[in-house]
Amino acid sequence: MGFLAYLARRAGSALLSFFIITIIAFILCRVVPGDPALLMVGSAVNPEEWFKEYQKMRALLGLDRPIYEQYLIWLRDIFTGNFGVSYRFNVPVGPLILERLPATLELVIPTVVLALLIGVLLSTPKFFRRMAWADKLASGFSFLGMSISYFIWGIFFIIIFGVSLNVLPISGRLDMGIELPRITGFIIIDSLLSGRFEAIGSFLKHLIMPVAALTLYEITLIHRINRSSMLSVMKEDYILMDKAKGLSQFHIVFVRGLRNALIPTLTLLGVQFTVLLSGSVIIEKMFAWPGIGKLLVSAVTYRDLPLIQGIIATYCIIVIITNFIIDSLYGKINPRIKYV
Amino acid sequence: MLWLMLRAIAGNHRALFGFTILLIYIIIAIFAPLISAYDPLSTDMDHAYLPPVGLGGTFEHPLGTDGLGRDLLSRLVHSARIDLIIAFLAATGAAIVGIPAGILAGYLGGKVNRVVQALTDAWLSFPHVVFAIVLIAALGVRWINLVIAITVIDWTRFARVIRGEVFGIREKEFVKVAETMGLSNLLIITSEVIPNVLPTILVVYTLELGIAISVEALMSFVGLGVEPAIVSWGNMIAEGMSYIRTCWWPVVFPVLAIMIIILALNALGDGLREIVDPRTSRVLR
Repeated sequence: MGFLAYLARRAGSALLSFFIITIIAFILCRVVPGDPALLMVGSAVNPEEWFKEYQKMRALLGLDRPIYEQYLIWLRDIFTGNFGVSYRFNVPVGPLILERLPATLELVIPTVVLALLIGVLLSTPKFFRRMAWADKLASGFSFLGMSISYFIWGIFFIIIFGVSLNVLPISGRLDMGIELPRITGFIIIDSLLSGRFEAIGSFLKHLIMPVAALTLYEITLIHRINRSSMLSVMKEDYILMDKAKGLSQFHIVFVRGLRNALIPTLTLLGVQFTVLLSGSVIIEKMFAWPGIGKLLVSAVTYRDLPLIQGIIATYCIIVIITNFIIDSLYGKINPRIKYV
Repeated sequence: MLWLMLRAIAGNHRALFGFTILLIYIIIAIFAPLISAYDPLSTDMDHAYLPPVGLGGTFEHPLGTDGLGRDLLSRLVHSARIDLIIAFLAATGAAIVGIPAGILAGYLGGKVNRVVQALTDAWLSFPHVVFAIVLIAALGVRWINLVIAITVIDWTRFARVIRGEVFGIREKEFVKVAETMGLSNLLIITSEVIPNVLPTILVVYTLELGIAISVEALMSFVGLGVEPAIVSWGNMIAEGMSYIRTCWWPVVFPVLAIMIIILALNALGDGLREIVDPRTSRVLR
C-alpha cells in the first residue's frame, strides 16, 4: 500500500509540473509572431473570397477559439494520442516524433549508463591506499570538467578526431550508402533483425563522439556527488564494524559503501537528466543526429506550432518516466527505504 | 562589507584566481577598440583564412583571420563586450526575480511557498535548452531576448537556494527576537534576513554569470541566440563550424575564451562558497 500511495503523490506532482510547462509552452507558441493560418491560405483573386478562406483555415486550425479552449482541446487530444498535424510536413505530429525519438534515446541511454558506471567507479580510488594517484587524477579532471560543457567537448572532438585526424565521422547516424529497413528505429536492433551487421560498425563509429561529449560532462557531476557521499558513508559505524570483522577493503567499498552512497547520486541523476536532454538537443544539432532535438530546432525555424508543442510534451513525458524509474530503483538499492 | 569581501577573496587562492581573470576580461571588454585596430565586422577577402602567429601567421593578425578575412583578435575582444553585458544583465535579472521569490517563500511559508515550490519544481523538470529555444522562438532572435530568456529560466536557481537558506534563518533567535519586539515583516526581511543571505546570493550570482555565457554560446550556435550581425563568442563558433574542414582557429579561440572565463567564474564561486561557509571561514566573522 505504501508504494501505491507514494506513487500517487509522485504522479500528482509530476502532473502538476506537466501542466505548468505545457501551459507556458502553449501560451508562448500563441504569441509567436506570424499567423500560421495566414501562411497556409495562399492567395486568391477576390479579397472577400480570400478572407472567407482565411476564416475557414483559422477555424480548421482552431485558432478562432479562446486560448484556454485551444489548450483544453490540445490536452484532450494528446491523451488520445493525437498531437495534431504538423504545419510544415502536413502529417500527424505523433508519428513524426516517434520516428525521431529512437535516435535521441540512442544518445541518451548509453550516456546515462556509461556516465553512471565511470563516474561511480572514479569515486572509489579514494578508499584504496595504493590508488591515491588515481583519486587525485579523477578529482583534477572533475574540477576542470565542471567548466567544460558537452558543447565544448563536442567541438574539440570534431576538430581533433573528425577533421585533423579524420578517423571519425562528424555527421549523421550511418555512412552514406548503408540502407537499413526501419523496424524499430533503433539501428542496432534493426540491423540485428535484418541481418545487416555492417550497419552496426558504422553506427558505433558515428555514435562515439556525440556520446563521449555528453558522457564526459555527466561523469564529472556524478563523480563529484558520489565521491562526497562515499566520504560520509565511509565514516559510518557499520563500515567500522565491517573493518573490525576483517572484510576486505574491496568488499567494504564496493558492496557495503557504494550501495549506501548511491542514493544521493541517483537523486542527482534524476535532476541531472534534464541537463542531459538539453545537451542532446545541442549535440544532435552539432552532429546532424536526426533526433527530436534537431527536429525541435527546425520546427522553431519553420514556426511549426503543433510540432513544437508535441516535442515539448514528449520531453515532459520522458522526464516523468525517467524519474519514475529512478524512484523505483531506490527501493532496489536500499530495501529499508519505505515509500511514505 | 565590500572591503571585507575583497580582503577575503585575496586570501583564497581559487577566489583570487577567478576574480583576477574576470577583472582582466572586463578590462579587455572595455578597451576592446584599443587592443585591436581592426573593425571586427569589416571583411577582407584577400586575407581570408590567415593562420595565427606560430602557425605561419604574422603579427598583423596575431590570431589569424576567419573565412571572410575578419581579424580574429579583434572579433574575440569585441565579443567579450556583448557576452559580458548579456552575462551581467541576465544574472542580475534572474537575481531580481529569484531573490524576492526565494525570500518570500522561505519567510512567509504557506501558500506563497507552495506556489514558488511548484514553479521551481516544474522548471527543474524540464530541459532548459528546450525552454530557451521556445522562448526565443516566441520573442525573436535578439540578444536582449536572450537576456530575458535566461532571466525567465534561471530565476529559479536563486529562488531555490535562497528559499532553503531563509527557512534556516527564520528559525534563528535574532529573527524570533525581532518578531517578539513587534517589528514588521518588511523590516525583519530587510534588516535581518537579507544581510544574512547576501553571501549566498553572491555565490549564486557568480555561477550564474558563467551559465549565461555558456547559454549565449549554445543558443547562438543553434542560431537562436545573439543576432548574426553582432559579433559574439557563440556567433564566432557557429560561423566557424560551417567551414571547420578548412580551418580550425576561428572556432578554437572563442571556445578557449569561453572555457577560461567559465573556469574562472567557477573557481570564484567555489572560493566564495569556502569563504562564506561558516565551517571553513573565519574571515567574515
